[in-house]
Amino acid sequence: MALEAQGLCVAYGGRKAVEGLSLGIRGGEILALVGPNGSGKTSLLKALAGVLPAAGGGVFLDARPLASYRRRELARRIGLVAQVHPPLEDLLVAELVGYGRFSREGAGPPGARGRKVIAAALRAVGLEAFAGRELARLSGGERQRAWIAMALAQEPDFLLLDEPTTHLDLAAQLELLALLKELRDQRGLGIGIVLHDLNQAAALADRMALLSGGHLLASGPPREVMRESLLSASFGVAGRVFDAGGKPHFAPERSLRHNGEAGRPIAPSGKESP
Amino acid sequence: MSKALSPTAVGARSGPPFIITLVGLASFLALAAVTSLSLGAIRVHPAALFSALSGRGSAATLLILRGIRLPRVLLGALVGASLSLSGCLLQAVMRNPLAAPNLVGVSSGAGLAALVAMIVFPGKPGLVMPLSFAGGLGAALLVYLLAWKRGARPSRLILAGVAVSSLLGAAANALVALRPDRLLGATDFMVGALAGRGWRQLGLAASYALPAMGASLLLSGRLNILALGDEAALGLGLRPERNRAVFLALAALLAASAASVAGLLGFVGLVAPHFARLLVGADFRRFAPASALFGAGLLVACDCLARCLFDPLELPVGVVTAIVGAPVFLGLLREKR
Repeated sequence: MALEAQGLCVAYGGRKAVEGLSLGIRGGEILALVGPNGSGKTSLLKALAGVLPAAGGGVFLDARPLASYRRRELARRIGLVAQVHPPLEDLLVAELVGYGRFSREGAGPPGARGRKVIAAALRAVGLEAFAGRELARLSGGERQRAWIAMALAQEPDFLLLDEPTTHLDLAAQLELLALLKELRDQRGLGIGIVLHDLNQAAALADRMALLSGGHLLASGPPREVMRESLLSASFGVAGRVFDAGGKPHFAPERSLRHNGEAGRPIAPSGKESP
Repeated sequence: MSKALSPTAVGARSGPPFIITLVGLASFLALAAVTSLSLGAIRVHPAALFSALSGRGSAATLLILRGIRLPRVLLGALVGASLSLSGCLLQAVMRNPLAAPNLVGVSSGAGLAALVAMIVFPGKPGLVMPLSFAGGLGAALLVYLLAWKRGARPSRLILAGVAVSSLLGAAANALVALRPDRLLGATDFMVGALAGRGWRQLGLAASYALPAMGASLLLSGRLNILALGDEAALGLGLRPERNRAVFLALAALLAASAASVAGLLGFVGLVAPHFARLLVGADFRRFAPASALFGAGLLVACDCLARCLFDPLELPVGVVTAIVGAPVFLGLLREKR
């Protein structure tokens, strides 16, 4: 099982957000997408989910172009958890999770198998006792887990998450990351996740992809991506990378943007673009 | 093997089961209908209604019941259900709890077209209904086209709807000011009324409204997915743009068929869905039928009041829906957290 971008370009009204990018996620691994604001992480994630069309190149699921899949067929393979959710004031947790069955059972009430899957999804995210509770009455972390449960109810092979830890307190962030590891290990899910916290990404991911200006700067195991030169060139921040319990850890020291030392997009070769 | 949630646990909600709520709403509609059929210049005891309707009474009673009150009650139920269901669909499509049929230009389009028909074809009142129906649908189409920019996003639909409604409303007011001689009967239409409507109007409205209602209820589960936002909907396997267009067309069809027979009735399309949502929650599979039932009961009850409050004088039912609707709506808002 593999979800791959090949020479992918994504554009918004003529402005290219992702340009000529090739990258893949395999089943049973976590790939963290990192990079500064505007580097193309979210656009890449949405293109991988088939939500944004490719303006060039393509995305392939098991070597077949995403565009050749029917929309519901795709939803049975890939679950997407967006960064921002509508308020949905009086919706119940179980109702939201039940909507994840749309691609498999249509818009009617879920059948016996669907109800089992919904119960399992709620249990997996630790919200079984909250099934009958209104979404608006949950904490930020619980609500984020409810949306993940909805994606799990799709029974996907790949789960794509866009900055799921934003607005969560530290404990909720750690719980969420532990849940993702569990999903990878127990269900063999391929997980693609956009994260802003580099150290969190390095601790969680099997592989990292560092983006800058819509290009892929580096990808591989965290140790290969978490390099001082790459990070300072991409983020415009000077700092040190050291080992923390077997995982690379980046300690930022100062911004380089004010004096123009870095922060400009650099080309895949590692050289700054003109 | 993982244990399944029970069917009721999936979407379990405090309060009575959905089917009980539906029976309650249907009883409200039935009570409103029986009361409306019984009261009036000639009173018929509710217990004698069935025998009177089947012709075992005086000829005058039969004529009043079959020729006037029954079609009016049925039309009230149809128009109320149409407006309420239209409001319910629009709330999902626009992702806005204040969305109502007048927001997509249907009411102002139907109103302007009706006035034009009265001025241009003064001797042909039969043209008012089809032209206002076409005007309502035309205005909704205009709103959709104006909102289109690589798709018709809800925020653009709302802005286009407000702009088109204002413009068409202003044109209608200009016609009322310029040609008052030709628009003597226009007040009823502009406020909304069911007086004088019979089987012909019921048949015409039903021919559009009933198929649209059936399709809306059949597809209502998709509204749940649409309400999650475009990206989430796509991720779940639903094409939002296509479905939005379908539901907008259904909402416009329902509202235009209602406006063409009853005029520009306010508040039903806003208040009834809110009340229904409070009863059955946000799942459109329950919310849509509950909205339709409550809207039907509400309008039949309001029409009964409009007929009987100042008997023998009659108020346009639109005045009553606004008088009843405004405080009920404010009460509902206070109920919400």
